[in-house]
Amino acid sequence: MDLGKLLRQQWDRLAAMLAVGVGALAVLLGWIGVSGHAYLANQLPYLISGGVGGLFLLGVGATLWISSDLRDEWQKLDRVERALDATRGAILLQELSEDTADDADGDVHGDIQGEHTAVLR
Amino acid sequence: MSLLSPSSRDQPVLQRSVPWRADDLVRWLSVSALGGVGIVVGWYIAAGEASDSRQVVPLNVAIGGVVLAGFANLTWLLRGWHAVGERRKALLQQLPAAGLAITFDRRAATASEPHSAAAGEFVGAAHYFHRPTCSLARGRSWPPAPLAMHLRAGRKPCGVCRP
Repeated sequence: MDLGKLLRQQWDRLAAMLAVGVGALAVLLGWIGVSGHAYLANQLPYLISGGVGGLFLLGVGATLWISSDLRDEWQKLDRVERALDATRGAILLQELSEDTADDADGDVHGDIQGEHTAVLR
Repeated sequence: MSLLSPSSRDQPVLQRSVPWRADDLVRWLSVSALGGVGIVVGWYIAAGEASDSRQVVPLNVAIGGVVLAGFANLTWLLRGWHAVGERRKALLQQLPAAGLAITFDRRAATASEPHSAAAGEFVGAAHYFHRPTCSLARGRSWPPAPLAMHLRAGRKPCGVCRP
């Protein structure tokens, strides 16, 4: 797949992965910093930047990832709605043609039914 | 920003291209940024203090920042879930109008068929046969008949109820 297209379509998932990666790295670096100092006063800045800052980035990453899932679901619902609209139109046509077939015992049902079945597929 | 179209702010829920409004995005970004600023400020002040007793306040500021950002994330996601749920509900309400019904239990679907048609009987005329409950058979005076009879008459199964 084209990288530019992937970046445009999935930028939020890529940003989520980046945020989670940087967050995990911040937590790791924070732990390394805290473990290398004996005094609490020297450890607290690492705890804030690495621990709390890493937690913040992990949260942002998780939110972005779930948001992209929700956006995908929204787009799926768009497609379902369009399919429902098409089905409704086809059913109206079919009912109309069945009325005609009932009255005149004509042969118009087949085309409409075939068309409708194609829509359902 | 591509996440929200510029005109999405005033659009009703069913006409948006994403589950959120523009003001949801602004709120999420601003509150998250505020939380991030709290963390940076807390870290900056704590790094400049030599005594741990003076670092308690900046630590609290940083923790407050991450809690604030978490609240913003949660609100953003809840808004999205709510919008998707509302839309799903609206679409489900459109199904009967589209002549489609959801049956989770086949036995329940069979039980709801009219008593005038015995099990295994279908209705139809001209070229297609239907289940008695099919929306296309509603209001018709077609007599129910066994499947074999419809097939002998050269009728095909309806594409809507798929008997």
